[in-house]
Amino acid sequence: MLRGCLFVLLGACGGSTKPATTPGELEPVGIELVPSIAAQTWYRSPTICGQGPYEIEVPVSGTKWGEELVLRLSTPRRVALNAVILGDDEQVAKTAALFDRNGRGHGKAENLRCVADAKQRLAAVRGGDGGGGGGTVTPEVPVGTTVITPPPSTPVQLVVEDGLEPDGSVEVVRFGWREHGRRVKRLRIRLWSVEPNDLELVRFGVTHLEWRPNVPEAEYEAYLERERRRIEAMREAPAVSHARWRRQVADDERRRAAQLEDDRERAAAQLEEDRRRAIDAALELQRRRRREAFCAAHAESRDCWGAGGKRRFLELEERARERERYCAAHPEDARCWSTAERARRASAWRRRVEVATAPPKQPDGPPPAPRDETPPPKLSDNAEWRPGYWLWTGATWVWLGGMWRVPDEDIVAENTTTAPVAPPPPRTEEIPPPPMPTTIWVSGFWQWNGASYVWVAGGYQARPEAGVSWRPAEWRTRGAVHVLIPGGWVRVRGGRR
Amino acid sequence: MKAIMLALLATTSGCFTSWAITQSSGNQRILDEGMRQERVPLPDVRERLHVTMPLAPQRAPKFRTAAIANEVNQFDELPFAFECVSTQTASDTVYRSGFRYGGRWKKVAAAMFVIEAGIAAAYYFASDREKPGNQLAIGFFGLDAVGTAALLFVPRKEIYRKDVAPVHSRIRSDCPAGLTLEIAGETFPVDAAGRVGELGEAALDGWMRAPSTPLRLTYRDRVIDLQLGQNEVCTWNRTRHQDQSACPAYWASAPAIGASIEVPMGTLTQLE
Repeated sequence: MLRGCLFVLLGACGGSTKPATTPGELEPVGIELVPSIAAQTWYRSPTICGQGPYEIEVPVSGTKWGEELVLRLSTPRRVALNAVILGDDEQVAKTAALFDRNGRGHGKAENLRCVADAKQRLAAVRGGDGGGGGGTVTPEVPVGTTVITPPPSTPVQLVVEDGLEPDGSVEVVRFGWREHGRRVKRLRIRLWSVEPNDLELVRFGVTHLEWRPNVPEAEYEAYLERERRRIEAMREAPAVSHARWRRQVADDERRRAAQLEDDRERAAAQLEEDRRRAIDAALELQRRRRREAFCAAHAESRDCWGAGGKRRFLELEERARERERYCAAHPEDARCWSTAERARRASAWRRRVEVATAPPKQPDGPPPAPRDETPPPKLSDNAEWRPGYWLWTGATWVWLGGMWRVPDEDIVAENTTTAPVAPPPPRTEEIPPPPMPTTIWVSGFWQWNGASYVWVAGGYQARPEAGVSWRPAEWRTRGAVHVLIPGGWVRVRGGRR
Repeated sequence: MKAIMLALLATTSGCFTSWAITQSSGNQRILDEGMRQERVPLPDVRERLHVTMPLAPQRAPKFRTAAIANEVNQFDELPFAFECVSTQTASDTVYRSGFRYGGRWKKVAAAMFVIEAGIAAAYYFASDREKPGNQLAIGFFGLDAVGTAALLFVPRKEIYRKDVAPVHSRIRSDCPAGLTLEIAGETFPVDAAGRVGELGEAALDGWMRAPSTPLRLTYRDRVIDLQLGQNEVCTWNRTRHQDQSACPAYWASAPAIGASIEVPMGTLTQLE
């Protein structure tokens, strides 16, 4: 009722004549495009540890006014992510960052259970070939750490998550267009990481937004047309434009003439300056000659020769020459370096430190698809399988085979693989030359797969630290049962590490 | 300390008194004028590589400013790194030529004479002459003015000296190529930043937990053992692993240990 009265009053006072909106309908603030969510899908990794490359194909609706694609991430821990949006097979947006539950984070990804430790990585970088012994291999296949030419990346498919939308997510990357801008027919999102991430409970959300006018389309088009006309009207008429051009030309002419006059004056002034300088130089020369003549005739003059007169001056000059002779013969003596020489050397040495501390080069593309691995039978009760992954060495991708991590306690308590029959005698392996002087041959061993023995091939491994050697795996008989004692690094002097 | 005392005396006492102090303390050199100096390097240069091994871990703030990092106590532990400093030690023959009691000296002495005489006269005529403090001031400035007047007539003195002065030059602070660390028979190269790599660091940590043959630094054909005692090993294990099991009952924290390798001149000055 009150609102009705107000409108009447406004109309009477010459206020807006626009009809009032119906109750419950909001008057648009301005005509514009607004987004609406067309689709939203959440995905998860098929494995707990993964580095991709994952690929998500996003259907393009081809809507008239614009669409946008937003990749979101819901993660309980820090994950490192490289995300690329491909539009018609061309990269249109990308990001590479560390994300946590609040957005972009700092530090390192929380992926300890998915990556090899420093020693294993070093073994890989050093070119250790094969990974027998400690259960780093699949039966009969000498895998483990291998340096190969990486095959092209084959994307891994993410699994569509049917459950509820996860709580809290952060934006990773987005791409889209509105009215103008690049339209694409095919959109894909590619995700990968340099190291495998721990992707348990991590969800990737793809939101497809469509932009539509906040008024009926006909009205929006009319609005656009009005805008176009308004801009057109703001453009200058040809006659006005021509007159302005003529004014500009005349101004340029005037400026050029003034510049010429300035140049002429400057040249004359320069000539005068040169003449004066030449006179000064001649006077200075004359003064110097007179002084030289005076000084030659007055060997004791302190003004000419400084303290001690000419004799002392000549003596010090001789000392200066002595220094020059010494320095010419000893360029490596730091006392002889000039400031410039010192700076040059300091710069060269500083560069060495910069090179040594520079972070390794980052890969410019995703790793190849992960290799299929069949974990060998579990080596102990509490052994944990760390899947294989592609390791970036700074120059190439190297496949680091999966391995069982056997806790020391399991070995001590002999909670390892047991077999009802004794293993066959060990195979004789042909040991190739070591790839590095610091590598050690880790011999193969028989492993019980629950039904029969399979041979786990040997290979070279880099010693993880000084003073250790490899204790081969062995089978021990405990009554009617045979127990596997997995191989491991042991101190040459002292107990097991 | 001596220099500070001299400066204090020179600024608080009279001109003649200051001169007398410089004469008696052997610092007449500060009165020299028109000095020319030539240094002639003497041979016999000793070139040394000083390597310091920090035992406590080095930390860098995670954030741009240390203040914020301190506030939230977030630091990144830096990899272990030796600190290297290369130096040359030698001597120069220094020839100095100049004079004393020249024109500038005389101008300053004249000005001081006028000032001191003026102060003495002001005290004499404008203050209570019965007070012992004023009498002292009149006496001091009057006598000093007389002494300063006498100094005006000191003849100019030529000076020529030849001294041998030690020279210590710091050459570089990166670790030179070829420096290696030997841990229990295994050799690890030390990079320009002083780091021994993950493997070397692991070996070093292992050695600290169970010390065996001495850690050995090698550069070219020079070898030096790092003298790590119980205190050093204890500091390493305590600061990195909170492990005090190997510490003696009474021990002192040892933040670092140093070693010095002497090499022929020119070895460390090469541009690698």
